Amino acid sequence: MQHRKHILTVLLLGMLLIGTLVPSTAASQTPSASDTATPAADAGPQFVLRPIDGQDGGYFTVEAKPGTTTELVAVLGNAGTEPIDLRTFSSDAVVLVNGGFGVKEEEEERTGPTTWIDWPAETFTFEPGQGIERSFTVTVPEDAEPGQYIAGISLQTAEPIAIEGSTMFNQIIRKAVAVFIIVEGETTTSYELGEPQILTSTGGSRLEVPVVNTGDVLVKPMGTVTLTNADGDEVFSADVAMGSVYARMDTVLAIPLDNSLAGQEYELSLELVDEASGVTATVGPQQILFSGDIPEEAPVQISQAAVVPMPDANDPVYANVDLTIANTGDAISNANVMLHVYSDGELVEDFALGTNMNLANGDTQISQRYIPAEGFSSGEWTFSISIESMTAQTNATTVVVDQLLPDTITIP
Amino acid sequence: MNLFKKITTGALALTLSVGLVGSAFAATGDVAVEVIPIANNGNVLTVAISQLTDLGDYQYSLTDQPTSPGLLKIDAADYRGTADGWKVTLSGTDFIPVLFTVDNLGLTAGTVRTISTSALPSEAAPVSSSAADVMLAPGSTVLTAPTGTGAGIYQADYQVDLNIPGGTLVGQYTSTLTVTISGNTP
Repeated sequence: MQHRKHILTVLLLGMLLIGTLVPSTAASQTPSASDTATPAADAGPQFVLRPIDGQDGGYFTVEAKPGTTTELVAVLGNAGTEPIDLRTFSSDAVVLVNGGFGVKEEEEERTGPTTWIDWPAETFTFEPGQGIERSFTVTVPEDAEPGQYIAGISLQTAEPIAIEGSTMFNQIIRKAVAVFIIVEGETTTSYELGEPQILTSTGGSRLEVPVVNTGDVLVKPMGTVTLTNADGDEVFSADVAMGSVYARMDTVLAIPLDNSLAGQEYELSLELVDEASGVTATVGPQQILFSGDIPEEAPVQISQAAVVPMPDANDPVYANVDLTIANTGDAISNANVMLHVYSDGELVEDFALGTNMNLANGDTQISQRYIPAEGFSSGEWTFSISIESMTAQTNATTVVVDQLLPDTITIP
Repeated sequence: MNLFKKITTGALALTLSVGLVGSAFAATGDVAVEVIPIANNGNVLTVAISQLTDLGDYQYSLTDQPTSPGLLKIDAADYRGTADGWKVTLSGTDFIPVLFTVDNLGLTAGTVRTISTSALPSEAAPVSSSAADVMLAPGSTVLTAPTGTGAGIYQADYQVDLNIPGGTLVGQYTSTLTVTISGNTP
């Protein structure tokens, strides 16, 4: 039997590369629309923060021995057409949810490698087209252990600015770059996974697993997470690819879950590997409760179904498949309707009855002729239907229906 | 918009920024620093929240109140001409004058539009509402352009949902959102 299966690909970060600063040619930049309405122009102030030998938004790299000082130069400036007040400061780096570089606020305590950086906070007023080169030092303490360290430098609008259409919110626009410090010496790659939990909310719940980098170098864990129900059915599966989890820092792996899974206990299995080092970490298999009410009847159902062998029930060549899909909820776009065919309980094939369909509120009829690729053979043939909807932005596929059909074809 | 002109200008700006150092001085902050030219749009990454529709007015209530959905638009542009990728993160302060946390704010990813022929950036998994105490503080990645994508101008839409906690006192509440763009990161 084809079990209900949720597939989610968590695409996260992964932008490594110190590019050489070579502007591209115009050939690849011909403006054209790739979606519906196109933005006429970008909004907001335009300002620069970059290493002097790097590109805007790029990061600084320092390779140093303990007790040494390295001097670096940054470029800050106004690339816009209006004067602008910009505030710059250094702050601790943080690992964002699911990995990746983030920075703390200016008023938060500066610790660790941030204190090695001599970057005084300051506010500048830049006229259009004006910038500066700002020198700073990174001093690695004598007692610094080998390995990687990271801190952040930010340049942002000195004061919050308005957001069009909103009186409730204003915004600070920030550019943040990393200062990546590598202290020479032997390093260790290791990380651990903490106790998982499922956090529930009406908008959508999620599985959270703490990830702690216990080593000296960054890791980028990737792998697979699965949830299996009490019947042994794998009801959720997701490929996971985290961004950087930096040395000595921690974050959480957060994976959205469909609330249709709520109200049951599952067996959780999570296996991750850092490809660069080959270091693995696992959770489970272990039981985990997805608390919450069992959802009401699903809005999408197969209300009528028939699989009729033709032309002779004892020696069929093909089968007529007729379905009525009843949707009492919102329209579902990008739906794939699959017929799963089994012979004596073994999966024969998955046959597409419809792809990229729009299942509007109400009934949708499907009539298809099914011919097995290898023809019908003796045995008991059974069928199930699954309907999957895909969310383009997240590459997440959710099975909204997985239903065994009552009709069976028995061939002597 | 003539992107060819922008790219050419950006390249020239890089040359000038190296060649003209020390050509002028200006008092900025507390110290005198050398001023160098920065070209308009020259090799720059930009980001901004370009629109956020109002979430409306609500009566005092002792139970939680979800607001009507709002629309938030984030514009991001990469004029560097290298398609080396970038990411945008979003964080927010708790609401004032009477604190209720920014975790009550949820975002759902929508469409991404571009006038670039580069591949669309991928949107991060939707930021969930409530119980989202790790999402907007310290922040979540809301838009990602992996290496090889993201050259040009992009606009991403998000549905905004706010849960007003029961018992929140009458008043006008505000929050400051910080939208951050970074280029390559280790």
